[in-house]
Amino acid sequence: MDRRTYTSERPGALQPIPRPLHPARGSVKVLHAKIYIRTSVAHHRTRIRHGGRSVIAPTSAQPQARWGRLVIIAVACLAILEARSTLVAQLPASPLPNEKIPTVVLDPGRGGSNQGARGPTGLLEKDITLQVATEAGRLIEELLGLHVVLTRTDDSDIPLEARATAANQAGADLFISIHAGGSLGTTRREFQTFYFDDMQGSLPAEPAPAQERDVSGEGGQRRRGAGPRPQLVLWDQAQRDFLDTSQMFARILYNNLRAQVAEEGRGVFGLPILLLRWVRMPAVLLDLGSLNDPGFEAKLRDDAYLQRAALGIAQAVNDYHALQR
Amino acid sequence: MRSGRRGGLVLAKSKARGRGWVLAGILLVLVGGTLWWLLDVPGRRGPSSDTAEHGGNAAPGEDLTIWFASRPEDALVSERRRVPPSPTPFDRAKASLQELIAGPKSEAVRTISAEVKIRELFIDTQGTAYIDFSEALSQTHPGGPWAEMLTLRSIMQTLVANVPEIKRVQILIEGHEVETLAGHMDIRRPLDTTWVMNQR
Repeated sequence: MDRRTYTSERPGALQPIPRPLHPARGSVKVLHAKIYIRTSVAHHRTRIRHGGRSVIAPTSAQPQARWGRLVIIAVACLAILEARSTLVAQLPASPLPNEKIPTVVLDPGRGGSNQGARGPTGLLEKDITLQVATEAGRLIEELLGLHVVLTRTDDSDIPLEARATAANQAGADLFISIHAGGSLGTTRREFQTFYFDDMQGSLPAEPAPAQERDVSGEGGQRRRGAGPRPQLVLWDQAQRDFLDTSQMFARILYNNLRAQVAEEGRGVFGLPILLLRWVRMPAVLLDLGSLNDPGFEAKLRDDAYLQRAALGIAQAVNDYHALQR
Repeated sequence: MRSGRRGGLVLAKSKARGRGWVLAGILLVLVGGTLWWLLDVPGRRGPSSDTAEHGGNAAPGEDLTIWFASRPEDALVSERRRVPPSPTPFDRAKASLQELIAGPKSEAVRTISAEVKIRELFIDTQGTAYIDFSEALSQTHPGGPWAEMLTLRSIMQTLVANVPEIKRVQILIEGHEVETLAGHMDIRRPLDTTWVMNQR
């Protein structure tokens, strides 16, 4: 995949830029910083120059010129201090020593002997998902400065439980599973996003068992003022507390994909997807499209298309975290 | 006086003519009805599920409604199949699934590969149907959450439409409960009628 660089020219839009990143400054924070410095300092310089000209020009040869220079120097110092404070305020969430950097789990679907869908010319779902997830992970780390965990980085078959466990263990903030499934016929099917929806009605919050509700045996008298009781979360109900957020992120992801790949998707749907059920964080599944359609397989072979899809994922993560702040 | 007598004759003649028309009409209706009744053999009424009970000339059987994926694959569409009469819910369920596996006859899209076999079928007294498919059900499935959803919904919709006794469906593969159909949809527990949606 062509490794290009990206910068944020306005909040909420990542656009490719033709020049490579400076090797020593390969992170989005530096890019943001450069932009804000340029903006802020240029603004103040303009003011400084403007003020300087108005003071210096008419009386440069007079004794008052010294005072004029002093005023200019004083104003310049104040402007630099103000620019610095502005820059610090605008830097994207500079992590403090104890502050947790958000973690995003990207799950490339399939792998190993579990090849998934197969295109008419032999393109495999497991390869597409790994390529897009790897590129999206790189963009999220470099452009957004977030931590990224990939559930697989090579052609290995990871069970669903292990994928969910990796995400939960990482204490991640967002989970995106990437697939490129087939269609039943040779119907062309564009991308879709899914969130978990238990169609059986078994997932709504259930009261804790009696022994969990009152372990003291004294009608809860002893627990008064003891703070919140530890909540028992069943493995099968891990997604229970994130249904709305997952649905919201599925829509954000869908809209960003649509903008980046410049085509209409098939929509956002809630389905009882087992992997999402086990994930204790906002979680979605992205299906890039039907690999067994000849035309769409050709599209998924195009690196530029896959890179735009990866950029759509990164942009969606950026939008989601902007909403969370 | 004369004119009054002539007027009475004309009135009597017109009354007699009117009675004749009424009688002719009644006769026509009676003859037509008799002919319609005589010519109305059961086979000419069109297909119906109770044809066999009338003992007509048509082959005995019943109609099943089988649900396939539409083209494009965004919904389910139904096709009618005439099959030999099924004495039990078990027979009707098995016949329905076999027609589903046989595939559509219209432009609809099949939701189960023709390689799939029904190994066992059992309906318990609570209305849960346990269907044991061969492993081809998952191995030949193209995958993808949407395609899996269409397959499961076509199975559920077909069974519920033809066998009212079935309330839930537990899918087994090679005799075992499995986690997913082809990597996505949770089928560890029986699917209930929330899977049956209004389809065209």
